Amino acid sequence: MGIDFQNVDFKYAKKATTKQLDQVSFSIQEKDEFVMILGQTGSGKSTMVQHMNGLLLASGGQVRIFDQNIIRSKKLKLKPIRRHVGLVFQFPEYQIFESTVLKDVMFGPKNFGKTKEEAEQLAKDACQLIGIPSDLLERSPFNLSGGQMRRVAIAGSLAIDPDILILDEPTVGLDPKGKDELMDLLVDIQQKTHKTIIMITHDMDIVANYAKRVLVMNHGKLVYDGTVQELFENESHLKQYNLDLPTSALLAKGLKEKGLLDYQRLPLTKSQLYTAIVRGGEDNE
Amino acid sequence: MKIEFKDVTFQYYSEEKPVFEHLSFTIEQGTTTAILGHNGSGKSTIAKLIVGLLVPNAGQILIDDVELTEQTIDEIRKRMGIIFQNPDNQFVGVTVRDDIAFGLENHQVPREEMIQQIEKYATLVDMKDYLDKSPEKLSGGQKQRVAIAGALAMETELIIFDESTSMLDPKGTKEINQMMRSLKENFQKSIITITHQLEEAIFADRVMVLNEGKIVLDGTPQVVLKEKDILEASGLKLIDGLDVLNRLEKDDFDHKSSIMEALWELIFKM
Ligand SMILES: Nc1ncnc2c1ncn2[C@@H]1O[C@H](COP(=O)(O)OP(=O)(O)O)[C@@H](O)[C@H]1O
Ligand SMILES: Nc1ncnc2c1ncn2[C@@H]1O[C@H](COP(=O)(O)OP(=O)(O)O)[C@@H](O)[C@H]1O
Ligand SMILES: [Mg+2]
Ligand SMILES: [Mg+2]
Repeated sequence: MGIDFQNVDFKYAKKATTKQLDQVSFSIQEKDEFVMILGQTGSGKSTMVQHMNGLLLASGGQVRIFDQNIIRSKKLKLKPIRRHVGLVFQFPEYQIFESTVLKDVMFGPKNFGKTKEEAEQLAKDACQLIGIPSDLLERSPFNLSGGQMRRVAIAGSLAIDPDILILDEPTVGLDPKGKDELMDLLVDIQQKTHKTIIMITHDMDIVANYAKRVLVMNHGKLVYDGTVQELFENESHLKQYNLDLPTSALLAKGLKEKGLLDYQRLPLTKSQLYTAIVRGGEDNE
Repeated sequence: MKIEFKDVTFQYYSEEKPVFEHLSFTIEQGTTTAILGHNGSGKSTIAKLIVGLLVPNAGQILIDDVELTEQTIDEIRKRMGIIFQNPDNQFVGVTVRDDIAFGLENHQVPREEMIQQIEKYATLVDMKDYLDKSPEKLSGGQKQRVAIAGALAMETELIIFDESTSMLDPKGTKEINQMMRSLKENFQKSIITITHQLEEAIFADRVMVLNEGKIVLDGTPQVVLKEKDILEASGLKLIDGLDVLNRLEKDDFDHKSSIMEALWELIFKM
């Protein structure tokens, strides 16, 4: 198993009465998964993913990463864990510091003991994978556009070649084209490399279009682990967790309320909405 | 506040090419204008030119028919407020109250009046209970609302929102969008909202789309937001609903006209 949480508890302050993670249990395969983590701000998403590569240690329960127990102990070695699980923070471009794109992306593999030549090759491969053109490699990362800088930062994590890549709100602040491009690249990377990709997002249109499996956090608890369709069909849950519907689902519901559309399955994406409308709601599978 | 760009050319010193050349447009007093464009298209540059943080290389900028110059800028700037992208960049004070007061102090408003103004506008943006809290402890949406209260307290005639929601979560984004709509409906202010989210342009009186230093579309949202090809060529993306509308236009199906009409209505209310 790649990542396995059993009844995980966590509190930032020992004396606090509320837990930021509260009896969280789930597991994620070491390859071929694409998981999105949702939940309103403050629900514990970032706290949870920081437990996935040993950045935070559980106060109760058990976290296992690639079959290693992550517990507070002198013997705990974090480097091997971070070889398995790479974590890209929110606004990762703020952490870029090298003078060229290539050097910045090489930093990770060098840090993990690769020779300069090996690191350079890994960095170049990572850049190619995430769509950074080779003529940018010798440029200063600070003169790039926001979307390009974001990719450089992600390439830095990819260059370590982790089995599982976690991204904390990778599309925030990008323009719509940049968002689409990044999502398409992530899907592409997932299909090519079979890496498990886990990402946190607030964007329900992205969830509708790209997610297979969804985890929902609410007040430190994992309250949902399942498919997108089931999540969005359950309105009382959505309200309870403060989640919105995707744009197309909102429109479909609006049309239904006006008696202009009928459907068995709530359309979630624009092509599903389109199909539901032209077929008059019949036979939308 | 009327804003006029006449043949404005602007280039950053360090860059090889101007951001725009001979840019001209007029924004009428009391209107809400959305400026749309992809990242790097020059939206913030326009905002900074309007508030006098940047100076054109050529051409003129007129505010209520007065040209922005070194002599006039100080007076004119007091009549404008700008809400930036990053909510963390707006703050200077120890408490929310200090922050709203900051602008007023600069305007030399008497103390009694100041206290009243602060209460009034904090209430308006629903932040009255937070006046004595530290701004650092607020959520992004709350920080932006405090910034809006600051601009309102100064009774500026123009408020510019420069991607003020792009770093906020959906809840914060909704709060600020509702705030903008209410400002438009309840105050006689000029509003400029700068964004790459088409959703946020929909309530404007007028939408201008910027690409490669030129205004490529200019009109009501109803007209501009239908221009799929130009919007996409400008690095923008249609809202899902508009994209569906576009596709449906070419099809034939039952209740077409009522469905199309209902979709428009739903999109505009979103
Ligand atoms: N470093 C920290 N110290 C203390 N509390 C924190 C820290 N980071 C986050 N929290 C709190 O933990 C809760 C969960 O936060 P977080 O995991 O960042 O949520 P999310 O990523 O879902 O927005 C929130 O109440 C937040 O205020
Ligand atoms: N301080 C600066 N120095 C040099 N170039 C800049 C500066 N600020 C912006 N630019 C460049 O000017 C162009 C327009 O930028 P900007 O107005 O910030 O665009 P937008 O707000 O639409 O994203 C971009 O190519 C950007 O890289
Ligand atoms: Mg977070
Ligand atoms: Mg900008």
